[in-house]
Amino acid sequence: MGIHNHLLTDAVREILHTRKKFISLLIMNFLAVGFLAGLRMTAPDMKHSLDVYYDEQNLMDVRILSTLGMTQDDIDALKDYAGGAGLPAITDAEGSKYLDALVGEDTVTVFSMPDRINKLRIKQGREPQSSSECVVEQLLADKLEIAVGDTITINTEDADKLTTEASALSEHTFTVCGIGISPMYISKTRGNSSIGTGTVTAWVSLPEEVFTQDYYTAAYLTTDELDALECYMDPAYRDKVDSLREALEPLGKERSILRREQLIKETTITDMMAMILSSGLESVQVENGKWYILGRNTLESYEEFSMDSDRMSSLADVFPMIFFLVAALSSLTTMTRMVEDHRTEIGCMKAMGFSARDVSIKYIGYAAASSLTGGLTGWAFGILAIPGIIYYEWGLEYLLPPIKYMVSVPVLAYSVGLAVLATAGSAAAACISTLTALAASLMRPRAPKPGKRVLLERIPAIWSRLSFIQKVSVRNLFRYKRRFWMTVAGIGGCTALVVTALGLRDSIFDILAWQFDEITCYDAALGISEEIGAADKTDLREELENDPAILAWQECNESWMEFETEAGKVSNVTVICADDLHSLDGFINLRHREQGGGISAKYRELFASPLNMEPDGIIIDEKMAEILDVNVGSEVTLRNADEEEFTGVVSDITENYVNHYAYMTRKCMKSMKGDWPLHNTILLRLTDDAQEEEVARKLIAMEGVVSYNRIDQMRTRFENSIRSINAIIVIIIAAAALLAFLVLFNLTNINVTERIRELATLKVLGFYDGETASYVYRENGFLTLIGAAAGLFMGKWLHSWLVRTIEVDYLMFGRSVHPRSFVIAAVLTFLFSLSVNFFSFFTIKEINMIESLKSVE
Amino acid sequence: MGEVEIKAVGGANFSIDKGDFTVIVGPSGAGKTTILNMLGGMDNCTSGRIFVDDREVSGSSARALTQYRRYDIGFVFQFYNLVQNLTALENVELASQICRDPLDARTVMREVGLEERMNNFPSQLSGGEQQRVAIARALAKNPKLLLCDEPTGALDYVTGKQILALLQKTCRDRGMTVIVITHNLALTPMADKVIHIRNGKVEKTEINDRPLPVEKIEW
Repeated sequence: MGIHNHLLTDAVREILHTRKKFISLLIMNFLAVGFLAGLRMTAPDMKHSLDVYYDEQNLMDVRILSTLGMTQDDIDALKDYAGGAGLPAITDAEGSKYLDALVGEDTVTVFSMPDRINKLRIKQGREPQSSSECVVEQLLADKLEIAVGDTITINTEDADKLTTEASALSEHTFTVCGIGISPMYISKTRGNSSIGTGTVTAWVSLPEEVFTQDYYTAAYLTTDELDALECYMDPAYRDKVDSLREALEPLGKERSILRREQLIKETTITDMMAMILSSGLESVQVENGKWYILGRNTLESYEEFSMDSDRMSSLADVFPMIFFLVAALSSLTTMTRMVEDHRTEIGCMKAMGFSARDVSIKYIGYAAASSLTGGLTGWAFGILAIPGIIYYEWGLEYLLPPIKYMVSVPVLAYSVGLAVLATAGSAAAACISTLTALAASLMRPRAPKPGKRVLLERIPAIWSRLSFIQKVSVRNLFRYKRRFWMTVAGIGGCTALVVTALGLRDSIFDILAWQFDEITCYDAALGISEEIGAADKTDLREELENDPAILAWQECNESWMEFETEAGKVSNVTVICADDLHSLDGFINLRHREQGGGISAKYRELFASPLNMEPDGIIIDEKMAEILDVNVGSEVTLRNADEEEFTGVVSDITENYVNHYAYMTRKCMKSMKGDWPLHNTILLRLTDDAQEEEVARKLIAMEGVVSYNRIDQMRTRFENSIRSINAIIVIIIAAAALLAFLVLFNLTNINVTERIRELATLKVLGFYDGETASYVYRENGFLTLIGAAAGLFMGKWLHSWLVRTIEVDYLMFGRSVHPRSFVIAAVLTFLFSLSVNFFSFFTIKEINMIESLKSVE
Repeated sequence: MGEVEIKAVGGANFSIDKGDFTVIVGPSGAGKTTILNMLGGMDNCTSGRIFVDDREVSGSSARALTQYRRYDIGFVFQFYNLVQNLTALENVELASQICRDPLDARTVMREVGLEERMNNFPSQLSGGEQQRVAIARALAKNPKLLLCDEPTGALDYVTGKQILALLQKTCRDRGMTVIVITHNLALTPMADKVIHIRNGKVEKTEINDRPLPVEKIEW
């Protein structure tokens, strides 16, 4: 055992004596593992944080909306619902009343104070204790500078029109007793409303007793047994909710009939049928009711968050791997070098009779110690820092609870495992090749690599102009071929990472301008009731014609459909049917894509010709064409909300980046569907100085107008969701920068150690420190130049591949990298190279001249 | 666990005349190399003073020591220390390009008898030839002092003799001050002055009035 203890002493001393190498190896593993584990954990952490929040606030698992409203009996029936084998048992049910109202100029959703389900998280103040108190959302408090104790007035004018009571609310002035957030609304952007400016700003929660309506607008259900599941990550969650929703359908039918009978009885008794029925029930006859049984995924912000974090995880899949490769390559170089440097010692040990295992354990142990320490600390740091930063960045766009970190054993195992395997593995490989050599040959000094003439010497015009140091540099570059390629690959890899990261940002931010400045040229879409009366329609047209803020308007039909072929399916396609496709000119710019070299080859020929506007075909967007794998002339199946199917022919493919669109003439739709699609949408273009809020308020107030959808809001929402990508890109660039630095540092170190005799000799000959250092710098500079150049190409290629990988179904990113990004990446690489030179100057300065007196080892 | 302070050299007083061929001799560990390092401006002494040509070398700044090595010292190493990637001629030119008043590299190469091998790389030369290149490299700097550290240590008998002969010839023909450091006592008859080192001290200094040519010495 004593022998082994000395081997251990030797190994420990080796670490102490080569601290710099050990630490740089450690940091490299730290970075690679931290980056990999951190990015991998980001999406799960984000989803888990929300899941915990949802469970804590008891977010409903199912919500039910009914066309006829719901009664307490309905709620009780749900609570008592027996369910069945395999179905999650309903734990609780609660009714909720809500309506849209105004607070000052802002449209707000007013809902009854949740009791047990969808509980608010009060951040300041407390819950209401009397009917004159309310809780307002943080967003509203921030926007209107409301503090706890202030009073607000809620204007329910519009809701009042729909009720038989004096007003929809029994009180209108409330004292703010609390400010909070709600699990139902985690996104800062909200839906549309038919009042005010047409856009909801925030919510206000009031005690239930102030609502005068005697029925609930919605019912919320929870089942506690689903709390154990991660709602975003476990597919079982969605499956179970779906099975529950399906199972509730019969109950819905039964309760709807009861509700209808009850309404008829009530209206007959009170003889106020017309008034009640106008409360959203429309016709003079009480129509059949219907329950809409929905899951969480129909909450807009719930789904939006999920998609945003998925986009994140697609980025996390690919990027760290490349990073890992570069780090592994560098570890490999270091370990191989170390073993080769010790060949005499290894030979000596072998000659003394140590087994191959005894000898190699030192090197493998060295590698394992550095990679394990670096990997574990990197893992711990990575899974805290990276999700933390990104979640914080996300928090600027969402209303989020504090982050909850997760520990994933598989991620820990494979990230640290990969690092140890790569580093210790390369040490083992280097040991094997050295140990198989005969001890005697190992103990002889390795013959110095002979100098060689290089091609450049055959060109005297250049060669004779070089100084000696330059000549040595050139010869050295070509002498150590392996180091040459390692360095070029290492530096190139880092440059490529930076190019890719910057390029991704270009690709993502480019489409913002392309989509919203160039393609979608209209400013807003006005939703029109399909039942609008002729007189109201004339009024509306007159108003549009006369309003000086409105530059142009165009009536069309808009609907949502699903497109399908054998190759794929695209849901949520906005289908715009125009009288004539040319009538969309100036509103929507239908065109072939020109920019971006990476056009899928399939469409390149097509895109060289002008867009085909023939009236009988469907124009679809490029991304949809790719998913459906169709080209001009292909047939596609369309399916509308009522599950009706039609077949159409693709007439052309248009440039588009965000969401999916299809355009056709109304005639074309009629030929497929049988009846004419009605004008239900008016596209508006406003003058540059138009006050959009004013226009919206005026138009929304008109009969027949149901909504006002602002394009700039869509733009903002999209902008916000991609802004968080910026955080990731900054992290990637920072990590790539550090990696580049380490790779260069390592290689320079190797370069110096390898030629320590030569450098010491130069010093003895009387070279100044600067002259000696420039001997190393020149090679570094040249290698950096070649590496960076190779990296720019690698980056371009990597980017074009990655952009496709991380693209989500409803987005198409730009395909090109801006020239500026290439320049930045190259400049950054040179800066790292310079700073490495700066540090290595001190190493070179410290070289002891005595080294020159030693024999060749 | 502080480091133990070890005195390598103490009480080593000697002087060397210009144009002399001096041999500093002593067993391993006697302090020869330390003396060489201090003489060569590669190391500073903690106490005591060294003068070369009336200029004090001891106590100089790092930069001043570099300049001293650059302009005043020619160094010949035991293991030649040629830059592997430069041809023989280029190795000589490498040194001469940093001096104020260098000798012509080709002339020096001719003088050391390597006219034919000027364009060969070190790996294509024998040990003796490599050492000649190293001497040429030191000479081309036109130094005040030629310091040789065991110049024959890595060479066979015959080749070693040739190298020593070259050094002796350089001393005689050029009036170059040559200091050879060795453990080989047999070399002492060829020197004008022999300095014996033992345990970091100068044991004795001998002056040879009639130094022998290398060819006459056997060991």
